[in-house]
Amino acid sequence: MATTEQLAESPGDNVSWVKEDWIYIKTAIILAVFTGIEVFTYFESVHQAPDWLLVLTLSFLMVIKFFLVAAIFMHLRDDNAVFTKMMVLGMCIAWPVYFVMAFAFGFLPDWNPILKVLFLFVPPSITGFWLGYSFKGGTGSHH
Amino acid sequence: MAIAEQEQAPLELESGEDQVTERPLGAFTRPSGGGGWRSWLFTVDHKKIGIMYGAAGLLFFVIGGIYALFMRLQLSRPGNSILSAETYNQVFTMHGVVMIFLAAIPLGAAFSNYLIPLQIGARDVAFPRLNAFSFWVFLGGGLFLLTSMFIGGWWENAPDGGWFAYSPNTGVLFSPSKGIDFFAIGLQITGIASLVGAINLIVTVLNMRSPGMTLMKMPVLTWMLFIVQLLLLFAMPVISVALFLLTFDRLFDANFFNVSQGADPLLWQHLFWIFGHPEVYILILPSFGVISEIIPTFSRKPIFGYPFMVFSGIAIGFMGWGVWAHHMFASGIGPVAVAAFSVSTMFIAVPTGVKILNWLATMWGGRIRFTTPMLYATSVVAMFTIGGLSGVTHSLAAADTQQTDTYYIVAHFHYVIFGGIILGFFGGFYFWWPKMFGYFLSEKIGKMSFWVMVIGFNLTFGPMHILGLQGMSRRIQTYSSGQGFDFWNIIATIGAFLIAVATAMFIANIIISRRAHRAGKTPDPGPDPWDARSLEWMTASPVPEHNFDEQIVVERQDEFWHRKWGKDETGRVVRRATSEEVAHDGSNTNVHLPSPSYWPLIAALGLPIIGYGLIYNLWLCVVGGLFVLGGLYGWVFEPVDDPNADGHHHDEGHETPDAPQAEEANEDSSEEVSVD
Amino acid sequence: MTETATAQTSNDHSEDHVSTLGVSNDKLGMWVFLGSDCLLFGGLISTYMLYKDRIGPDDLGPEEMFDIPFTSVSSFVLLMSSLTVVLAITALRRNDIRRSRIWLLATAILGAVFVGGQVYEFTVFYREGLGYTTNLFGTSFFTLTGFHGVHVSVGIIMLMSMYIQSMRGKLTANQEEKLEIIGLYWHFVDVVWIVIFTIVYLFPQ
Repeated sequence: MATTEQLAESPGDNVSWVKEDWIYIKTAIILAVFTGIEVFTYFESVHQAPDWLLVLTLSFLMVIKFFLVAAIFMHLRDDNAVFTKMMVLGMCIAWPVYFVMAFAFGFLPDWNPILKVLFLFVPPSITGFWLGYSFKGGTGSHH
Repeated sequence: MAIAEQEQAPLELESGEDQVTERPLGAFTRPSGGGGWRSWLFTVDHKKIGIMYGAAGLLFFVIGGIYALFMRLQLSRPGNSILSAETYNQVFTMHGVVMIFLAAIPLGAAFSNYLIPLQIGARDVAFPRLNAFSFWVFLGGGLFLLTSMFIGGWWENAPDGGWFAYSPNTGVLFSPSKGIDFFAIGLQITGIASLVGAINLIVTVLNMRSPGMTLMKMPVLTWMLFIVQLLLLFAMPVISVALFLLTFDRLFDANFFNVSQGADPLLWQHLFWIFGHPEVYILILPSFGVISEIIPTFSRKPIFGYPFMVFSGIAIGFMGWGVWAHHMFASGIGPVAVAAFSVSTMFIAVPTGVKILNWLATMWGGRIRFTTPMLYATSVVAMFTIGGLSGVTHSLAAADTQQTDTYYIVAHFHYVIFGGIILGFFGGFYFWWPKMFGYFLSEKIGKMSFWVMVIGFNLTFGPMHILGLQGMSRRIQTYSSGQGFDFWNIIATIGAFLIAVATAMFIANIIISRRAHRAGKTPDPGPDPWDARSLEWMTASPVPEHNFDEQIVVERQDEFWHRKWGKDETGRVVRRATSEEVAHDGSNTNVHLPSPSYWPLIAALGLPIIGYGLIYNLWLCVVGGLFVLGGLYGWVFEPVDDPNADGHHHDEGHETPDAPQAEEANEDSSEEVSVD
Repeated sequence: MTETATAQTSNDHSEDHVSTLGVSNDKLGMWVFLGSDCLLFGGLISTYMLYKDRIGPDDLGPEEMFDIPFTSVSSFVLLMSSLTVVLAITALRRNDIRRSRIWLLATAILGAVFVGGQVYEFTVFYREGLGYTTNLFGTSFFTLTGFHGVHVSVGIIMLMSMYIQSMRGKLTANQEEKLEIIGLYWHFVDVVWIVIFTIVYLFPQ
C-alpha cells in the first residue's frame, strides 16, 4: 500500500491519515453494511423466506466479506502471489475433503450424486485455475 | 522484562567455556556454540538437528523393533503366553505408534533437515530456532509417549487401542487405563513438531533457494520432501482436531464419541484417515526421493523423465487426499462412497507406477555399480512393487472386505513401510554417511547386513500374505493349533529376528567403520565419494557449519554433475574437472551464521509437562505453560543473530577476538530512543 | 548510534540472506501457518455441523440458545478490530508512533470485548442449562467457539506484548513487519469468525 510518497508525509497530519487509510475505512464500512444485511435476515418477516434462499444469500455475503478482508485488510490484492497460493491451497484441500466427509454422513441427501461431485470439485478447481492463470510468476526465481 | 535486557550482556561472558552452567535461569547469556554436548543441546544448525532427528529416529526404531520381537515371540507357536492379552494390546499399539510417529516420520525429517538446505544451496533453514524447537518438541513428545510404559505400573498405562485408536473403543468406558490419554496428548505434541517443521521447510524451499535454482531444477529428493512438508502442513491439523476431540472426551467428559448421546464413532475414523492416508505418503515420499538420488548416481545416468517424477509426486500428494475411506470399506459408509473411493484408490496406483517405471528406465542401459546404497535402492523398487500390488487388491472393495483385519493387511503395509521406507532410508544412510560424518560405512558389512535384512524381511512378512488369506486375524494375542497357522508363524518369527540381526549389524558397522577411519585404515571420502549429481556433494565432508564457502549460482538441473562432466567435440561425455576442483573445501570462516539459543529447548520442555499435567494434575499444566510462555517470550525478544557476536563464523573452539567493540555496540542499542 | 543501527538491522535475519521470491520469510511463514489453520477450523466446523442437530426433542439446541442480536454486536466489534489493526500498521509505516499505539491498544481492547462477550455468552448458556457435557450440541458448540476464543486470546497477548514494547519505547518503524504479521493472524481470526457467525449462528437452524 505504502508508496514512497506516502512514507514521506508528515506523521502528525490529521487529514492525511484518514485520506490514506480511506480504502481500509471504506472496506470496514462495507463489511459493516454486509453484516447488517446478514443480521437482518434473522428478523421474522425475512426469516419466513425459504431456507435455501437464506443459505444462498448468507453464503454469498460471507464469501464476499471473506474475500474483502483477505484482499484488502490482509493485502493479498497487491502482495506476492505466493501468500495467496498458500492460503488458497489450504482452502482448496479443506473444501472437498470436509464436504466428502459430510456427504458420507448424509449431508444434503436430496442432491443428485453428479450435483454433489460438481459441488465438491468446481469451486476449488475454479479458484485453482484462476490463481494459476492470474499470477504466473509467483513461484519462479526472483533473481 | 529482565529477559529482553539480558540479551544485551557483554560478550566476554560469551566466549568462556563455563558461563552456561554458572548463570541462573532467566538471566543467562546466549550460548556461544562451543563444543561438546552443549553444541548439540543449543544448536540451531540444520545439519546437527538433522543428525539428532536421525539418531532419535533410529533409537525409536530399535525400541519399536523390540516390541515387534516380543509380539513375534508370542505368536511363534499356538497358545503361547509370553504376553498377556492386555499387554499384547499395548505392545502392538506401541509398536505401531512408535514406528510410524517416532521412527518413520523423524527419519524422514532427518533427511529433510539435513539435505533440503544443502540441495538448494542455502546456508540454513528459514527459521533456525524454530527448527531446533520442532526437534525438541518431537523428542519430548516421543519420550512422553514411551514413559506410559512404566508410569503407574509396568505395562499398565500404555495405549492399547491400536495405532489408529478407533472410537468408541478408546473411550474411558472401554479403555479405562490412562494409555489413550498418553496416546492422544503424545501425538498432539509430536504433531506440533511436525507442523512447525513443515512450515519451516516450506518457507525454506520457497524462499531460500540459491540464485538460478528454480523449482524445476531442484533435485527429486528435495521435491519429494517439499511435497511431504505440504502434506504434513495440511494433514497435521486434521489429526489435531481428532486428537482434541478424543482428549476432551476422555478428560472433560465431552460427547464427541459418546454413542449413547447420539455421537457417530465414524467421525473419528474419517478424521483419522483424512490425516492417515496423506500420512502414508508423508512416510513413503522421502524414501522415493532418496532412491531417486541413489539410482541415477550409481547408474551414471540422469533421472529418467525428471518432470514426470516431479509431477507424479505432486499427483500423489493431491490424490492422497481423496482415498482415505478405503481404510473404512468394512465400516458401512454406503455403496456410493465405497465405489468412489475404490476407483480413486485404483487411480492413485498410476503415479506410483510412473515412478517405478522411471526408476527402471533410469537403470536401463546405465553403468550400474552395486554398492550398498544401490542394493538398498533396487530392493525398494522390488519390494515396494509387491506391497503396491497387494495394495491394489485392497482397492477392490469386495476383496477388501475379506482381507480386512487379517494378516494380509499387515503383510501389505509392512511391504510398503518396511520394504519401501525403511530399506530406502538404510540406503540413504549408506549413501550420505560419508557426507554427514566424513567416513565410509564398511561396504562389506553393509552388503552382508543388506542381504540378512532383505531375506529376514521377506521371511517375516511374506508368510503373512498366506496367513492372512487363510484367515488369521490381526491384533489377536494368540491362536490355536490345527488351523494351519503354525508353520508360517514360526517362519515369520525367525525372519523378525533376522531383521534384528541386520539392524545390529548396521549399528556395529557404524562403530567399526568409525574406529577403522580413526585408525587411518580407510580412505577419506573427500567431498564427492560416489561421483554424485546434486549440490550437497559440492562441499567438504563432513559438511562445514556454514555449508558452502560461497553462493552457488545454479544454471542447470544436476548442476554439480555438469560442472564435473561435459561433452567433447564428438559428443562423448568426458570429465572436465575433478570433484575436488569443483567442490568447496569449507575453508571460509567469514560467514554469518545464526547463533545458538536456549529458548527453543526451554519452550519445548513445557509441552510434555503440560501433557503430564492434563493427565495427572492440572497444576502441572501451569508449570508447563510457564515454560512455554517464558521460552517463547525469551525467544521473541532475542534477536535471531546474537548482536554480541562479531558477525563471523568461527569453527568450534575458536576464541572471539574483538569482544570490546561489540560490547560498546550493545550498550548503545539498549539505550535506543523512541521517536515518540 | 551508527552501530546501533547495524545491530538493529541485523536483527532482521531474513534480509541478510537469499530471498528467492523477494518476500520476507517471517511473513511467508505466517501465511503458510494460516493455510494450515484452515484445515483445523474446517474440521471443527464440520464436527459442529454434524452434531448440532443430534439432540433429544426436549434438549437445548441452537434454536433455543442463540441470542442473535447480542452475537451480532460482538461480531461487529471483532470486525472493527480488523480495521483498527490495519490503521495501527499504516500509522507505524508512516512512523506515526503515537497513533499506532492508540490503534494497537484499541485493537486489543476490541478483541478483549469480544472474548468477554463470549465468556458472557458461555455463562448464560451454562445458567440456562447447557453445559459442556450436556449434549452433542453443547460439546461441539463450546469446542468450536472455544477454539476460536483461544485464537483471539493468543492474538490479544501478541498485541499487548507489542503495546508493552511500545511503552518501553521499542516500537519503531522497523517493527512494522512484526506488527503486520500479528495483523495477518488477527485478520485470519476475524475471517474465521465471519464464517462461524454465518454458518453457526445465522444459517436457518
